[in-house]
Amino acid sequence: MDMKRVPERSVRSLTDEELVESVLEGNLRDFDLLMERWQKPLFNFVLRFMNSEEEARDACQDAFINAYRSLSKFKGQSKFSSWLFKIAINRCNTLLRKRKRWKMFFDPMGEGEQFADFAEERNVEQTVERKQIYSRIRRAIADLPPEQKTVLLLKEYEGMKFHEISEMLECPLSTVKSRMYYALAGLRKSLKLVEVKNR
Amino acid sequence: MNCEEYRELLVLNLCGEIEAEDEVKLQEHLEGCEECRESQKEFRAMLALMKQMPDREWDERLRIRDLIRRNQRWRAIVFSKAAIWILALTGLITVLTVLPLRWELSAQEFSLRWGAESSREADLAREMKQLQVQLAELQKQNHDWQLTSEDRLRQLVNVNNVEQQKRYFQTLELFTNYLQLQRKADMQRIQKDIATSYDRTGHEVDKTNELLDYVLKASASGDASIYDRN
Repeated sequence: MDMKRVPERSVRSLTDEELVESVLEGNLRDFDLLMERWQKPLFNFVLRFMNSEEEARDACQDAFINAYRSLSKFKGQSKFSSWLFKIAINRCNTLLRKRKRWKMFFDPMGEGEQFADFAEERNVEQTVERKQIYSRIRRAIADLPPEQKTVLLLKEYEGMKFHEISEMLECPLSTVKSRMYYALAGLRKSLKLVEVKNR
Repeated sequence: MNCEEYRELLVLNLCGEIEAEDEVKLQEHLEGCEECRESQKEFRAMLALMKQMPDREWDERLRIRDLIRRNQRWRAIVFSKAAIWILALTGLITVLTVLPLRWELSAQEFSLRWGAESSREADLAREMKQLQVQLAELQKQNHDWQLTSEDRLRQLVNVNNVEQQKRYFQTLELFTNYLQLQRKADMQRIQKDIATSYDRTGHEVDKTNELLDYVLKASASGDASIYDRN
């Protein structure tokens, strides 16, 4: 089967959808290319969504494995990336529900402690301060309701248009826009609270 | 329009998806509304900060590939033809063992039957007993009636009243006919019961046929004494 494959350079020029077709035809190695293209954006998206490296890693792995397993169900009606991200979002939501269930017993993120460590080193170095700000933003994003942070992350980091997000999440355009507004408002609120706390 | 109605436009403006016409409308509102102006400023700053946040490197292709391969191998084993056959056979054996099915093989026939053996035998014995009781009762009624009628006849003969004797014989004939009919109906019901119960269990067919013969003869002749012989 591999003998029939097109040379590596031209494989790289194939679109995601063409690569999917190729994988379905039996060129399993082409799935590697899809992973290579999307693993970093997907991981960063999931990391921002979950704010937990371990969970992000698990969710990404699961998303790729699930995508591979159900590749035959991908009909090409949407972009491969949208389809992949949707799988990842579903997985994240499942993990969030699990996390919520266990939150009563312990804090699985341990982010609070990390946050405190940075706070102690304040005014030492500018980079540390930067890290601290990013950490706050990450935490604030992670604390948003899942549907709001989904829109915010897809819009800001994946550069998707509102209508694309609306199609992907199968919800009205106006809902997507208002989720974006509430995400920004929620973010502002929690960042202001942090500022007040640190003063 | 109040501020709430400009939220959508504010978001579209921040994300660079606003139409020129809407942008003019929004600018007009922003000029007159400090709260919205402030919101736009803060949102813009936040989005800028978000954009500056560096991406993390992550490469787990090898691990994912390994996981997929392991998953495939596992699925290949589980869904292999041999596994499916073994599972199906195990299932079939379990079903045959658990269900109260039993098979019988005689010179005449092979039969597969439902239900536990022991309770079937008990049912059969109980049914037979019931039928015997019914038959005995019928026999006794018949006998009693014969005795009574003979007694009455003897009395009438002694009295020597011809007219009364005549009326009595007419009544007796009618009554006998009636009783014969009733007995026939009873016999048929019993025959049917016996036939059904034996048909269901399939046992002692010859004995049943013999018994049926007697019952049929008894109902045809109306002779109750035939029971005594059996």
